Amino acid sequence: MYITILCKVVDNFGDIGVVYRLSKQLKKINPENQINLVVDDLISFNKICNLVQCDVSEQEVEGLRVFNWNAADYCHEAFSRNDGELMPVILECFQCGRPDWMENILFEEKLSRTVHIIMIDYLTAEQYAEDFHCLQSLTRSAKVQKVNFMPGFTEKTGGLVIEEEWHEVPERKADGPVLVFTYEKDWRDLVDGWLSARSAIPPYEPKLLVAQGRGKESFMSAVKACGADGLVEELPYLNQTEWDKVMKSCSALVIRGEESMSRACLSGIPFIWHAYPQSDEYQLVKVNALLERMRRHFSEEDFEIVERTWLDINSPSEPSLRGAERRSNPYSDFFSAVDHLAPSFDDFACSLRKNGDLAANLMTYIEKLAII
Amino acid sequence: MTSQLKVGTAFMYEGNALIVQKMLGQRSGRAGMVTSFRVKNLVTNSTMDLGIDAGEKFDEVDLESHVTKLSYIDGDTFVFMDQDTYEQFELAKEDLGDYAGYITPDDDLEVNLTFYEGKPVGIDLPVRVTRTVTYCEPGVKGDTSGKSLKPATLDTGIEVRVPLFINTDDRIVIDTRDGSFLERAKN
Repeated sequence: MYITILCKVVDNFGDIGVVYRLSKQLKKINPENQINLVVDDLISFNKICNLVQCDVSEQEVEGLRVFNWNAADYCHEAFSRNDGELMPVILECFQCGRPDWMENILFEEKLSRTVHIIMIDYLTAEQYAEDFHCLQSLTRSAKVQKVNFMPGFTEKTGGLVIEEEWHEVPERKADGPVLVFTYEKDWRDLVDGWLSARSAIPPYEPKLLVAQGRGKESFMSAVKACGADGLVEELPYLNQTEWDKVMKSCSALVIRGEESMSRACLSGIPFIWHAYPQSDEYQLVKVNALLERMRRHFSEEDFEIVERTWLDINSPSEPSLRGAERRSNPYSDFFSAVDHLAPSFDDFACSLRKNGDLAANLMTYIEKLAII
Repeated sequence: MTSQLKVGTAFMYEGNALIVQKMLGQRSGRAGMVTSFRVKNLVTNSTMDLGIDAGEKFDEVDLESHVTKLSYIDGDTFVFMDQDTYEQFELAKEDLGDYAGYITPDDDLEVNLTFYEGKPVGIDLPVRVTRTVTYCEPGVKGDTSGKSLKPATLDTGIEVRVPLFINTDDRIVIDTRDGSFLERAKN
């Protein structure tokens, strides 16, 4: 079975991170599957999978066929061969669109076979994930069928990618470090809050691990301003396997985006989610939606600690724009309570496994469509 | 482009004309909007619900249009009168989709009735229409941010979401593409 997966890197490693994870899982579920990964930015891909070469049109990496989206002539020849043999199923990830050479094959030259495009969307806890899951879409040709497939947090969605190493909630290291992977912001409140929690619970003396990426500089500025230089370790760029290991070794997480958030959800480790900032503060809609999915796993008091922290981190930096006066530093409250909060995060993580693995759910769906 | 589709737009799909009857929902992602529509096949009259993302391209169908006014409503049938010929045309409420909630026979509003192969298939409304709120919870002074919304019933009977500062009897401007509140009408 050939499955072609399209991915355009936007401005970080989240998109390619999810796609790489999904690709490996689809291959693992059925080693007979040939997974063709078409990526527009092999340099970013190389950061999370060091085996990827950045300057070739086609290569094999960990059993996946990786194509350079931008190698138009080469890809056109490869994908139009044998009536589009390589693409009976196309996974169009995160509304990335299709390369021009593929559009030509699908709509200008036309194939005799029917092609099925499955649009895999961004992960969200919003209600629309259920509304759009498996909802038919349309292209301008009946020979190119299209459908929406939504990752998500409920049984009425496709779920999350859950590889074998994520089948069980890892045992939390209560004395582990705190991982920080964020977007840009004034981070002094968070660093201050962490420092005060840290000093209040001796001999608990974890350090902060700061990941590479957009938010690193602003975070390190806050570390310096708060005099926490000696308590912070800057991580090198890590590939996906190493990244997962580091996450699992931590006592708490401050993570961003959707790919790392999905791992945090499965980890059972207390975490704060810094959502991708959007216009009109739309990220708060996404944050509130995920909080609502989590609420039933927490006591009222514990949930309030988590909620205050998440809303603070995702709101504007300027105190004047934050609305209500804060009673205390929410990060201090959060980090002081991580051990106490851990069982609730653990319970949430267990509940997500009941929705099944996104890749397995996807394969079942493809089989139902009688594509295979 | 899909991003230009709205209620009343017709487009070609495999030799058949489809018309957008109703917008069912939207989701926004970093890469743009995905909208779910109810569309009707103008040849077979069958309807289907679709979730289409902004990147898909379709050929738009040019529909013929006549300027009409809504004469009266009989049950689920809307009767329009051509302003030049006085000819009457009937459309089912479902053919008007979301637009059925923005017009009443009491309006003196000119409505473009659209035709496909000589048959009336829908109407085309301006993006902005002004309607009266017949009921909503009392307004909250001071909240002019427009970020918090409450339900409000319009004089056509439909319910829309309006900011907290809106009161019963207020005239408001609605976006007919998605039913969203635009502003308080300037008298």
